[in-house]
Amino acid sequence: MPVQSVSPHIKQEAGRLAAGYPALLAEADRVAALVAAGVHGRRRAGQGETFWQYRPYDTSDPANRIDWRRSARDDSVFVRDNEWEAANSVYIWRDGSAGMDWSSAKSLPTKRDRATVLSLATASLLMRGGERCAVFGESERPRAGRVGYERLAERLLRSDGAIGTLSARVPAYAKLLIVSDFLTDPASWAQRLATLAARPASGILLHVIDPAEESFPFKGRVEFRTPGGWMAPFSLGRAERAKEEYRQKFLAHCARMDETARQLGFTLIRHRTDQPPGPALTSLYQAFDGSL
Amino acid sequence: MGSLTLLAPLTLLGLLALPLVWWILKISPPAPKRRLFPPVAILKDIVTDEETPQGTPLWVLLFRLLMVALAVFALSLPLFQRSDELGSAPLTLIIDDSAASAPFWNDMLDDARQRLRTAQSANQDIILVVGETDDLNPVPASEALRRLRSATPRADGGFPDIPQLPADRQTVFLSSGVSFGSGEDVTTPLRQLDATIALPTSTQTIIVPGDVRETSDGFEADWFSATAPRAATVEALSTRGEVLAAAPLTISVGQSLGTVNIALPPQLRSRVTQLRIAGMRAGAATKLLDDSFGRPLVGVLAPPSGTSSPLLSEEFYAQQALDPFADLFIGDQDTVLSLNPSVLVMPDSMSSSAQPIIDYVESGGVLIRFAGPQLADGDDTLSPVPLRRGGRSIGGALAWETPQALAPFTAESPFAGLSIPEDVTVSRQVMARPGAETDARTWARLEDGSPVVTSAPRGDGRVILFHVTAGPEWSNLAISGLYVDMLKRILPLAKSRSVAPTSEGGAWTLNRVLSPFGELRPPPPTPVVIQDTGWTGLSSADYPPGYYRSGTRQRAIQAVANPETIQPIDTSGLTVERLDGTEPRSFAGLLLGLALIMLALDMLISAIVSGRFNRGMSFAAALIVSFSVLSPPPAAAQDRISEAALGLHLAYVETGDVQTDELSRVAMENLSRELTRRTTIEPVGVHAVTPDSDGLVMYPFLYWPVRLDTPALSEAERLNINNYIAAGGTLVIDTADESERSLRAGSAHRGLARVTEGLTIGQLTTVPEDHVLTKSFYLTFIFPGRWANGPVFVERAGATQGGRDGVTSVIIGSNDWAAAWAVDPDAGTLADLSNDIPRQRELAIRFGVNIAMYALSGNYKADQVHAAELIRRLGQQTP
Repeated sequence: MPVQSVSPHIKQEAGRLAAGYPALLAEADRVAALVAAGVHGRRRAGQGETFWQYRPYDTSDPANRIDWRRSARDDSVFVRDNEWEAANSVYIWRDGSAGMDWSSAKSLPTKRDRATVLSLATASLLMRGGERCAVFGESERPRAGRVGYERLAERLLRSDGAIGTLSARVPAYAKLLIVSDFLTDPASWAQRLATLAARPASGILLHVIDPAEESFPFKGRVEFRTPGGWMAPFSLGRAERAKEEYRQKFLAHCARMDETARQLGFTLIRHRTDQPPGPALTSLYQAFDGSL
Repeated sequence: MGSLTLLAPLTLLGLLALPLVWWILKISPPAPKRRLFPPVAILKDIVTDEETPQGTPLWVLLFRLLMVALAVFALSLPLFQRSDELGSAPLTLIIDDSAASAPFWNDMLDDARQRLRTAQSANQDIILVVGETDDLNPVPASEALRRLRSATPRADGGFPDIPQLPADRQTVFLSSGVSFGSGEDVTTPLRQLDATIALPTSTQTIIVPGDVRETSDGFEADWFSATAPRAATVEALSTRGEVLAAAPLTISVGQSLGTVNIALPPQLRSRVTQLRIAGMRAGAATKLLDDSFGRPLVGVLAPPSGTSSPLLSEEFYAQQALDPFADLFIGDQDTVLSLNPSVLVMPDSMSSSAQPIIDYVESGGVLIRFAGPQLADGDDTLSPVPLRRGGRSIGGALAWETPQALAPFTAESPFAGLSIPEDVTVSRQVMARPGAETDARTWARLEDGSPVVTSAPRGDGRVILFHVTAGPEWSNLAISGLYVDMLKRILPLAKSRSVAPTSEGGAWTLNRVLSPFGELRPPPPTPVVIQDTGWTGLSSADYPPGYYRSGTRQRAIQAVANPETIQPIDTSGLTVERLDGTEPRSFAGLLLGLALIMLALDMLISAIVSGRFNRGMSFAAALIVSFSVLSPPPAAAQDRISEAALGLHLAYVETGDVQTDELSRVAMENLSRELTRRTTIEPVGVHAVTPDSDGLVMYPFLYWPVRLDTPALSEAERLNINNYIAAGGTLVIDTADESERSLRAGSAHRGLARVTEGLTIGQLTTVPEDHVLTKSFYLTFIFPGRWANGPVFVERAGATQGGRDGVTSVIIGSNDWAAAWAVDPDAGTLADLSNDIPRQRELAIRFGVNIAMYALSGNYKADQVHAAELIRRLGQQTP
């Protein structure tokens, strides 16, 4: 790592991340293994190395594509097609805001951890499938293969996932995986996604939810603060009274995100951290499979 | 039976504040819980209904109201007191201040005080009859309370006189429960007054000593009690106050007399000077033993001038044999008889049947005679059996017979049971004329049956004749151990003999006074002298009980002269109460304490209610709860003992006061460090012990902070500590009150007195200049702690018991050493010193090092180590 001088704070942070790295990576690998299906062809002829079909020569084909061995066995001239194995580029953005680094109970992973695991697992699957992946706004270019995965994982784990990186340049028609709780300034997400969709780019939104955010299990007099303190604390005299209203608001927030995704052509997948990551990964994988 | 009095009833108005408290509790919301919650952005639009406070649960509300009510009630100073006398006739209080009241004198005073206070609250004037008072006018209760403060029981056996008292008052007699024959003198006037009598519980009444008699293996003592059955322990004490023996005393139902048998070897028996009932602090329950007991006074008749060859003189052998067991006086007839010895030894060379000697024997003396040429030749009237003139020589050069050995002693002989060495033979003897009388009077015979020791009573006394010489001329008996044993057996025969007054005997001066509470005190400044002729042996106000001395002789006057007349007070016709000594009991402290506990609980409750009762809190709460019900697990004790056995640990005694204990702990830890740093003593750690901890013997010394409120030791604790002392341990007792010591004005430190009660501690002295403590490691003359000037006491040289090798069992001081030793490596010093002297802390630590070295090495440092310095010191002392 080309780090010339590291302040102690960064060193500590790096240590913390490095400590989490193998665990998260292993978790990602484990989750990915459940879904892994090996290299997947595009099930149609195209560029690739695997034989797909012989077809009669068409005049638009260049002469050097004629398969003479096959043609010699018959009167017609044949051309050999390989299966199309074109790789796409997937740009992964994992929200790293303070609100993500929170879980409502000690037994639950933080949203950030779960988001990282799912991102890495998806990347692992995709890269095994031959796709190229990059960390949105941070990797210089998408990479493929085992070494590429390592570098991606390293960068993703160190990624701050700052909101600002979402406005980085991305090639047109790129595939995006955006993992977030969409709670940081919720109203502006439609705007941000619209900007991305206009590139044009499309992809998948993974909405990570802590169960407490949905169920609002608070009682009595509570003062709510945001992790990181980006908003002023907010007090409720009797929290249980606000439960219904909150739930409705939260559902509305979800519905708004659904609506935004639908309008902009994104697929939105919802995942609660108290559920195992496997099903979410399957959904992610299928969603990618369909769209690639 | 009782009533509740509020000393500050107006405080109850504070209860009016309860509704206010209710209201405040209702409206004030609990502090909000703080929660991290990311979707605040969603939440923040929610406008909840009014900021209604979370209602306090009803039970919490009631709990808090109860707490406040308790505190208010406590501040109104409620008193619980007996109300039965309230409002009745004014009080006349008579206190039985006889010596028999001493064991429960404090209870009696408490009871009196309580009655006086009750009368005070009824605004009555009181007639208080206590001591030698003729002031029979009613006085205000405060005045009576003041007089009560200076009241002490009498030392002598006198009984209070009931003066003429007005009958229209309520008369209360606080009684000792017993009388010595004169009970009617008291109860008759009381009956006329229709009085109330307050008695102690039957197990408290006094047990008084009677006669003491020697037995073959010790002695037996009579004790009298007015109530039966009784069980107590009799302790035999030496001059220095050591308990030499203890034996159980049982007085069975229906009897007033109990006899206790105390078996003691003669050497120890001769050191017994006092018998007392364990735990009964009373002069009347103490038997003083004087010359008529213990070491008898033995006169040995000897030629007036010393001989040039003492080893050949006759009296030398008797003298050597008797010396360990008796006080010997050697001289001619006039000198010795004037001392009125209990036994007179008459060697043959001093044979005489002069009238003074016959008078001596007939007035109860024991005369031990030895045979010899004079007796064999002369005609002597002072002989137990008729003698043949001449004597008999056995085993000489011209005799057929061989020297005779002694025959085994018969069962009637006082020598029965003594084993006879085989080599003891008799080659000459005087012969008794045979006859029935001679047979009966024979105590020892030769193998051929001829008497060798005979004895016969004469008048009140007795004559004992050894038919051989006092020296080895006629027999080697005089140089055998048997000779010593035989004389030893004879000595007790003289014991019951009373010391007869002689006109020229001189005067007896009071030497030690027996206080009403059983301590021996120095005599009053004005000498108390009893002329020999006026000796009655009865104690009175003029002649207090105690030891009286005349020259080398000592006699005792007992507190109670007529113990056998003890009987319970006849209470018929009187109203009987018990001395309960209950002071009006204030509930304020109890209630306030309860309120404080509730306050502490309330914090827990509010923590639970507001949901901040996380794991840390629950741990802390569990800790508190476990502390409050703390019972040390035995396994831990076992660990401590094995730990202490495997490595040297310093130990301090826990007082229960956290601050004191913490100070002691830090002090001991620092002392360990200093020891490790400075000396070869390397303690492994520090242990906290209690007086009843097992395995105390593992610790070289115990640092024991004793405070004014330190409670007395229980029986088991006392035993444990005594065992520790007996095993060679040293107690370092620190009262840490040097600054207040002068305020006590010489009176005893209450805590120290309670703690050391019953511990086998010898006579104390301030640390002498040449004590090992001053040189066991550092040479130091001072023993500073927080203060530097307090005296430090150790056992007097020679006062330590056998086996301790002169190492004091106790070091007592008031300098608060722990304060000076307590230096925490992190926090620094824990206490400031008075800095009476420069480098006080260093010198204090040096003293601590000396203590540890002293406790571990004993008197080892008593000798040469600092010889040069010691010589220099000696030189300074004698300039």
